[in-house]
Amino acid sequence: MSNTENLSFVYKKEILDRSSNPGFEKKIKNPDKIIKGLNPFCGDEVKFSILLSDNRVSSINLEVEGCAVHKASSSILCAIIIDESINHIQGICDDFISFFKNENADSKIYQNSKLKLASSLFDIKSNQIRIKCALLSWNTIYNNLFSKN
Amino acid sequence: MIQSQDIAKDFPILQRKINDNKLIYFDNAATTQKPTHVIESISNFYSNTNSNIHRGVHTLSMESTYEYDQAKDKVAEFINSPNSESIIFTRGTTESINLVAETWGKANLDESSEIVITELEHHSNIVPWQELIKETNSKLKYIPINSDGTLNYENLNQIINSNTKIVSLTHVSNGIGTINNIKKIIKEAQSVGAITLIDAAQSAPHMPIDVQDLGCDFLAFSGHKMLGPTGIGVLYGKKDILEEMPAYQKGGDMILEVTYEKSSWNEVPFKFEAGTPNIAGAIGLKSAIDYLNLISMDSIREHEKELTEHILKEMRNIDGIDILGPESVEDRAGLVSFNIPNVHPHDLGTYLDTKGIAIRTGHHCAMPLIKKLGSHSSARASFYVYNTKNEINEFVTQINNSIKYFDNV
Repeated sequence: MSNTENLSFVYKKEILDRSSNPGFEKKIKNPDKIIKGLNPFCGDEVKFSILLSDNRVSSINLEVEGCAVHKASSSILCAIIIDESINHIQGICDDFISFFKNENADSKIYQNSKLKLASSLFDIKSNQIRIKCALLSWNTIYNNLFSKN
Repeated sequence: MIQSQDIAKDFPILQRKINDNKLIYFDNAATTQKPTHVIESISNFYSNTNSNIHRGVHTLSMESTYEYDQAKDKVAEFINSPNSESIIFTRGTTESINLVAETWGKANLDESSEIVITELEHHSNIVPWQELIKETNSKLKYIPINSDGTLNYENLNQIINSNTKIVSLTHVSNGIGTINNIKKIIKEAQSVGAITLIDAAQSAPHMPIDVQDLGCDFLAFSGHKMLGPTGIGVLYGKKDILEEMPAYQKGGDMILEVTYEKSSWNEVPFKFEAGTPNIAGAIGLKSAIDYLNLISMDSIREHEKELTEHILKEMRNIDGIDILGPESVEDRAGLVSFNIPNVHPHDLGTYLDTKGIAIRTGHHCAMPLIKKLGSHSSARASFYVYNTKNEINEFVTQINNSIKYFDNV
């Protein structure tokens, strides 16, 4: 990035809108899963409370604290995984995380139709230091939603 | 008065442009930039003198040994240590604190012992003690803070009591800049026979330090936060205490005699410097101290007070700003930690980077402190000899611009 204009590479309108209003605030009484994530380097936090039915995410509550990118990314993730089967979510997260971690993983993310909703986050790949903000929630879900507990 | 513009010319990196703007480096509490003087001393060592120390009889080894020992003398003089044997070179403040916890701590603490630290500490002065209490069944107690981030000294004589064996605290908070009244706490510790360790990582680079005047038993700081290279730090310890302590790491250079059956240890400080030390780092640190002495530590403290007074005055005009830490510059080092409404510190940090301004954002390795003050993170601007009021003016302008930017997008 060379100037403020290029900040729009990171701070697209959808990211700023979602960061100021991430949604998914409705509390869930008896969640099947409570999944927490923390970035120890910066203090960003996230907590997902998830209700499952027939191996699908039927309801989700999001509590998120941190920067605009982390908040927006968490919100987009919730929008993508709601009503989705756990097996599909695993693949979606895998494609999203691989895109940011691998130089040559671009094609998969564009083929995955569910990830169109996350396209405002794709350009963050060019800002190495902020990739961790985009990935915290996705890694958190990927590493914990599919565990036996 | 320091001529910061002239000083800045000695630092090659400060001539760099970041994102088309002249670099404004306000991340000095994390690490400082290096003057040509220091860079060349390291380069010169590797180009002309490089050799291992203390063992060889050839010219290069004698020269390297001389320079390394000179560095130790320089550090001793810098903090007014009564002798050079009290100076141990480590990798940095973190290793210095760990050295004391691992050696003195394990040898002297049991289930009746209490360790006292404060709520202001960097993780490096919390975690080693948390681990030590698990191994020794001792207790860890905290001197609390007031809402302005100063220490609450009210119940000091209850927190520090006859069970207290060591009081380990920071001189200056890296998170919010509070300058602690360490003399008062050292005195309290001495009254119950406890030893004291001062984390001077954020003070030794910025103000005069006199270990004899303070009366502390240990003092730790890092070279890279005072214009020196990374990987070199200092542990000062009173010689009689160091002599009684068990060795830290074991191996070459720290031994007196080794047989196949057993070994005995060299005298202090060599007992605590196993293996080939960071010779170039020590020489770089000596050059950094020479450079700081040319400016004078008193002048550096005055300069940073002026900058801090200026930035606090300017920043208090920003609507809704939350400035963490003490109000008075007498109680605050050259460091301002803050939050502004609706712009998360990381987003502010990214915005300022596009303007060439480097600050730190996050919890500054003081997670419990930042949480205690009601935040998850903060933005932190910290100053040094090369920073100017004009840079602060630009910084404040860009903070205001960032508020507009994130409001309007």
